[in-house]
Amino acid sequence: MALVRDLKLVQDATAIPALREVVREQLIRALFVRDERALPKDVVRILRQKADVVVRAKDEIEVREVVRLVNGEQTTVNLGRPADEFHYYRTRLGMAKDQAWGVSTKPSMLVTYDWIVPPQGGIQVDLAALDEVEVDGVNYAARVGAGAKWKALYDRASELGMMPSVYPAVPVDVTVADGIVGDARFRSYTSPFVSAVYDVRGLAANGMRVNCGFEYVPNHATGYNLKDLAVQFGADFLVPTYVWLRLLARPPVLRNLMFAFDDAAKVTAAVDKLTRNGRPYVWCNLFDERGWGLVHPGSAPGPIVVEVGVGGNETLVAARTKALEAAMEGFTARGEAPVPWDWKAPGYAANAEKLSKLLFVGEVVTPASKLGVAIEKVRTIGASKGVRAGFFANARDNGHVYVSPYFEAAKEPARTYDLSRAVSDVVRSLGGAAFDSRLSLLWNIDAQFQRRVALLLKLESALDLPNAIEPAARLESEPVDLFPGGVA
Amino acid sequence: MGNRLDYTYRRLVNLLGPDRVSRSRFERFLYSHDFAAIPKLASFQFKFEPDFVVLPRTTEEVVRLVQFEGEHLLPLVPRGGGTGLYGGSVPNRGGVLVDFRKMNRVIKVDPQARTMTVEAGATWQEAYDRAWSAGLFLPVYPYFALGSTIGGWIASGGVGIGAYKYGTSRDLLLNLEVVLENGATIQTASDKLDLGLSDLNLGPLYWGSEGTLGIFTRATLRLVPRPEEIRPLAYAFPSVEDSVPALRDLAASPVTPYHVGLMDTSHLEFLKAVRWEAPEPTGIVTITLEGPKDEGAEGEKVVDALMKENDGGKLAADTAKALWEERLYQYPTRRISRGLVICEAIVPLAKFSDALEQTRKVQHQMGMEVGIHAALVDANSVAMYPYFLDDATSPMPPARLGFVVKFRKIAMDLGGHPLGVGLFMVFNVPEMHGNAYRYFRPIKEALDPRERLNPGKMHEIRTRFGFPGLRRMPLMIAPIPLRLLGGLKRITPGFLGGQDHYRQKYESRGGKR
Repeated sequence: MALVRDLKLVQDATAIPALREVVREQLIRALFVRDERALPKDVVRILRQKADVVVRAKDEIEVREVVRLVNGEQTTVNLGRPADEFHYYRTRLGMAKDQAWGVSTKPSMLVTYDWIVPPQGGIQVDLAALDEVEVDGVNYAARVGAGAKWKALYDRASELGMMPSVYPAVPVDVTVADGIVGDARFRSYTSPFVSAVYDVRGLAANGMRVNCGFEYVPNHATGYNLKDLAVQFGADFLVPTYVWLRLLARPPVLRNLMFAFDDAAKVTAAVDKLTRNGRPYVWCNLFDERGWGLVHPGSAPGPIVVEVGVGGNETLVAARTKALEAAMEGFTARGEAPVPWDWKAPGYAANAEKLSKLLFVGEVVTPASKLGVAIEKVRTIGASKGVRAGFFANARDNGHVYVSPYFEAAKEPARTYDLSRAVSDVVRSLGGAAFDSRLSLLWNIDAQFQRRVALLLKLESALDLPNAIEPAARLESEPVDLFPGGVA
Repeated sequence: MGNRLDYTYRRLVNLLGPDRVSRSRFERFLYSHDFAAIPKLASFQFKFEPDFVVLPRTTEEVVRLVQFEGEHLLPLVPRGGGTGLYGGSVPNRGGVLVDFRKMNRVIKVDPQARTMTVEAGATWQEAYDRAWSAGLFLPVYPYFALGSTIGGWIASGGVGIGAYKYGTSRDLLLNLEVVLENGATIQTASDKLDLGLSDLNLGPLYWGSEGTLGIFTRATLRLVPRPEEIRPLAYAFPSVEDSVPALRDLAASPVTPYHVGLMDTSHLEFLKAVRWEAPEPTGIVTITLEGPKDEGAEGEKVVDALMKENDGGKLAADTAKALWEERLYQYPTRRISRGLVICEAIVPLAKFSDALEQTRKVQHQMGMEVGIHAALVDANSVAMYPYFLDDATSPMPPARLGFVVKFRKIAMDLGGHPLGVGLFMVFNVPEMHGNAYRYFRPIKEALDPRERLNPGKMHEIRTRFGFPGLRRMPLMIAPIPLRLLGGLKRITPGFLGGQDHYRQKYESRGGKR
């Protein structure tokens, strides 16, 4: 995750205290839309930088060799390759003893948009070939390679009577590791992603293989909580190669019940009530009409559809269904839909492909009681910007709904930025809700947040002392002169 | 030195007032240990007694203490209820001990948002009661909830009641207010919304850090709707090992219990020594269901069938209820001894039988009486709590502590890990984390560069001595004395500490072994 790189550049570039708040947003916009005329040459140089080499690692050993190569501990000669090649790499990468360059990890896909600051030269590791999924059938846990799709995990676990404990927030075809190195979000009705992860293994900046948790048991009371740190910021201080995930037993009966609503206010009341009934549903997803059609066969039964995964034995499912029906007061139609994850892999990938063409800007996190207002306001944004808007959402038992608004528009940076800004403004007007996106983190100038950023940057530089993993962009002149031509 | 401490004392009194600063010998002695009895021999190595004990009431006072400490260069050691097991809140080189028990207010319970904001010194029991009275439920709390404080348990990161269904205190933690080493205060995340790890949530970093990265003053916890019922069930097996197939079936079943406790015969023998009404010693599995009544009734049927298939006999509802009500009083036998040592570790459920077997083997080799109880952490893992009585006044207790070292090693060898680091178990950390251990020192140095907060723990063992060479104890050397004494105990079990007191008590009540 190159969030640290983005945060650091913005922070460095706005280092003049008097200008910090004034120019911050202009700078972020210019960076995001690549408005080179408005940016100093120094920053343009950084934005034009790209990885010198992309290495498609076949296994973890190759990743280790790449990191060791970056550290100057390995050459192509002792990798069994000709010395000429090493010379080529040295020239190609501009290797020199005094030059900091490093390794960055390539996410399989980004649900929202690209990082602002590209990898600053060096090697980008593509981990797509590490696509093993190992479910041993004894433990309710799986070892998943950094390149393995979540859907592959789901299919493998299902064969053995198990299922993952978290699901993609938006049903795109992401890898599990995209939750660490990319911007994919996973959750279930009862569990966040971090609770589903037992261990993250990767290569540290010094080329050593590290396990940040424990493979088949949770990481409790063992000192500093490296596992959560790795899930959150892992790609900033290591190259993740494998993730161990907690699985669940697949219930004997698993039904996907759906309820259609024609009124956002009624959905709000229904979901709020649902999250208070204390029942352990498996998932609770919400769709607008168009979103439903993209994921499920057939047309949507109403403008807003709620689907809830109900698992258990026959009696438990009956009790849970009854409670669900009581909560879903005001629905206009109800029925049962196929389990959304049970599609055959090609069908799932085809659906996911359609979804990946939509423009996502992040998640709006809102208490269930404000869901209806959030939905209406997202729709208003679409209307005012002249694009079709919709949403996917997940509700959790903590009483929150995580809404991913989407827009049917070309993924142009300027448009993405403007829509993100509009969503952010809407969320601010909602009160009690939050906009969770990378841009919103860059915009955030709250003093408490800035203190956390400062701690994070300190931590990142301590854990990656040689700056070998996701190397930060270096400004030659600090702070940046944002008005090189002078202010008219 | 004396003058400097006198001056520091006067400054502290100016800061907090005379009734919240103490340097009396008696009070300093009280704070020189936590739940576990500390062997007297260790006093040669560490200065357990703090120089001062202070009791702040507000976050501002804690901030002033941290700033003050910066001038006087005395280590600050935060302490909650003192229920830790490995000296995490015990000074190793004196300093200022900050007791949080006066910061014990429940600031706010928000039924709409289902959250609760509590000061670090409130006990989990107090928080639980307040949540309950507001129609909500604090689903996870420690075994020592009566004394364990909010800040203390978050700092130690342990496993508690409700873990099977709701995880740990980390899963409840929305926001933590932390005073940093420079006196700045941070909120680790949003107070109102559960954004998970987004929003640069640093809460998980501080969770389990044992007060070495910052001082916790306030926490916002997630609550859940109050369940319609809590239904305790209990089943007897010939031994705990015999219950393992049933536990695996339970993990595969559609029922998600709230809590699953396991009591070994040995544990019940300990209980029987002090409580005549305790169940007859055998292997007991307690399964507690929580939630709507209709699900509870069906859940009970499912669990009954599973246990029956695996030869588990259902115990009377009264017995199950009594065992549930006694869940916070697991160690009543402490009252018949002068100390109690508890070990904690998580092992994979698949290796639980091996862990029990190996633990018993070590116990027999060392001629000790060890009670074992345990709890399922999730479908894959079990937290084991072997414990033994100890006489802290005896000169030879370290020989028995060799058992702790052995047991923790067993857990690691079986793919699990010990719980808790504290002051005495730091030497386990490199083996537990392997190469990842190399991250520990940079983390500490980044967040507490001057090593002012609970220093000399987590990644190193710092002694009472200031001389180079003696200042730190190499981690490799630390367990050697315990291992040597443990080995000696295995060779001559009768010589180094005789029979346990509880055994005589138990046999005098007609119990048979």
